[in-house]
Amino acid sequence: MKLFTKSNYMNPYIAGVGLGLVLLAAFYVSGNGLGASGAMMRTVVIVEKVISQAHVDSNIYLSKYGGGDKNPWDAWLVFQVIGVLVGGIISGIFGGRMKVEINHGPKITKKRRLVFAFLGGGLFGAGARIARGCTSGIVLSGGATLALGSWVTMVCLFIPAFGLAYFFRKNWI
Amino acid sequence: MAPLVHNLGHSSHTDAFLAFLIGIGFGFFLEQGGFGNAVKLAKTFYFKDMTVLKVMFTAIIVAMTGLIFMDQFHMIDLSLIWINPTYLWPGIVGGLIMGVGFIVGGYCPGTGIVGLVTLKVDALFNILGALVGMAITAEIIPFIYEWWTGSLIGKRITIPEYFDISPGIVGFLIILIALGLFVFSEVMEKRSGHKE
Amino acid sequence: MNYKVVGLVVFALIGILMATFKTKVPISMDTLKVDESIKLDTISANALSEMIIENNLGYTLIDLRDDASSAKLQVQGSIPMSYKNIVLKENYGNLLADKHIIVIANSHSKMLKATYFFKTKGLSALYVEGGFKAWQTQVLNPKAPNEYATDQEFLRYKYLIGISNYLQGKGQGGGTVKLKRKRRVLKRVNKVEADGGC
Repeated sequence: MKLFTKSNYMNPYIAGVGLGLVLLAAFYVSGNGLGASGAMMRTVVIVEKVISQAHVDSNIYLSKYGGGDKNPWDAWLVFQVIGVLVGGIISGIFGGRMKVEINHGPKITKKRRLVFAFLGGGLFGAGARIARGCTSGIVLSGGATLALGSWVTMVCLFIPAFGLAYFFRKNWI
Repeated sequence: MAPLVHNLGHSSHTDAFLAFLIGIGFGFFLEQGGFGNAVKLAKTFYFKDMTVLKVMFTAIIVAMTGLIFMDQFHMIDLSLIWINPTYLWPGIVGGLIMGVGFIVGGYCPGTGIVGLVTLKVDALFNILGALVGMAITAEIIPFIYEWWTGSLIGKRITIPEYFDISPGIVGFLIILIALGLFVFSEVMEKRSGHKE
Repeated sequence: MNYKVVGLVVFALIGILMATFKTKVPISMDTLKVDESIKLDTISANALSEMIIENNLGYTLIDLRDDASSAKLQVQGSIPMSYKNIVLKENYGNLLADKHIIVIANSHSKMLKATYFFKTKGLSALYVEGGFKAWQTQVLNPKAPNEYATDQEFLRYKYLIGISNYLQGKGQGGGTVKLKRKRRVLKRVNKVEADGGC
């Protein structure tokens, strides 16, 4: 079994094993799973705290992260995500993939890709906050702990992605 | 007995450092799997490159198996592990919206971060969009707060508990599902001429 | 050798092995070790009585006393639950996840352990400070103020007696209280005059 594919990516099954062991280690060491969207939300709250602490305090959702003296960045998840940044860079350097580029399907322009990337991100961010997690927190961590809601959300995540793929095929293939 | 933080009296600095190390592993394997490239990710939904399914489900069954075995041999205290709460309708609606966001944008927060640090400009736009989307949602949630905190089936409810099946059997079934998905992935990739 | 097939078979075997694992027998309350670092919340007996009076529906009251179902002194709206059977899924599993679980018992250590156990199941749980004894002395039989008590303490006593009567089905009056007050006021007026007036 080859460790790396012809395009210099790690064999997906081996990468999966590696990822699974990291996830297991996270639980073993801290009791927490992996995550990402929470750190992004906390970044949003920090920015909003600087602009208007009063607004953060008055919002029942935001105040849980940054009401009063609370520091939104003082969380296990935030330190983990900083690690993700570093790990991604290390892997990118190793794999020779540190390249400024815009990945897009061959049939569309770069500009169209950027517009869709922004809109898609907006939708994903909204959905992540409503579902209380993103693919890392829900699919990986919730999946491994067999959390009921996480598996439900996982199925609901894949349905539109596969179901609407046909209508967005021009963007990708 | 794991989780270690509860027994070894770590200082919060040690915890932060360990979180950082684990994050490095997370980011490393995500990028190694090719998740920094949105086009590669999206190809999953056209059955042309099933990397997402392979990596994701391998990771899930490896970690899940580890937890079940460790629990069976009393190496871990599962009551101290974080289990995502189950809010039924927010979970469904949020999942559906995320699914649309994924096929439109091509990234999710974790992969977007990895794409960002490998200098993909579309990942940057995706993350900016996500931050804006989250900020807007944070303004809306207080108005739907009752719905958003409703339909709570359980704060730590798991599939074995809900269906009253032993975790080992649930784990076995999930492994079977994953193995089936792997076979399906290999078949679809061969069909679409995906070269390794 | 096709490594993918090998991996498939290995994982299938691991899965079969997993399926044979027996679910762990639920721990017994006796061997349950409470994690000292987890802070357990309490509620005063008086606050609980007010919640009952106000018909507050946001909680489930669990009575752990052995004779909870047959005792003469019951707490309105409480659910009796045998302490050692808390660990059984059919008991804790039916507790609603979105209400606070309030625990009351005679023994402080039992209340502590029960509250901790519910918390590990992800429920919001707290116990009554002072347990059933506090319920008896603070709510059912509030201490009558002496004749030099302030008006405020007096009104508070009247309020507590009203609650106590209501909970014990004696109506909401505070009839006997009135009589005491007349005498009390007179005594106070006499004392003040003896001291030389206001």
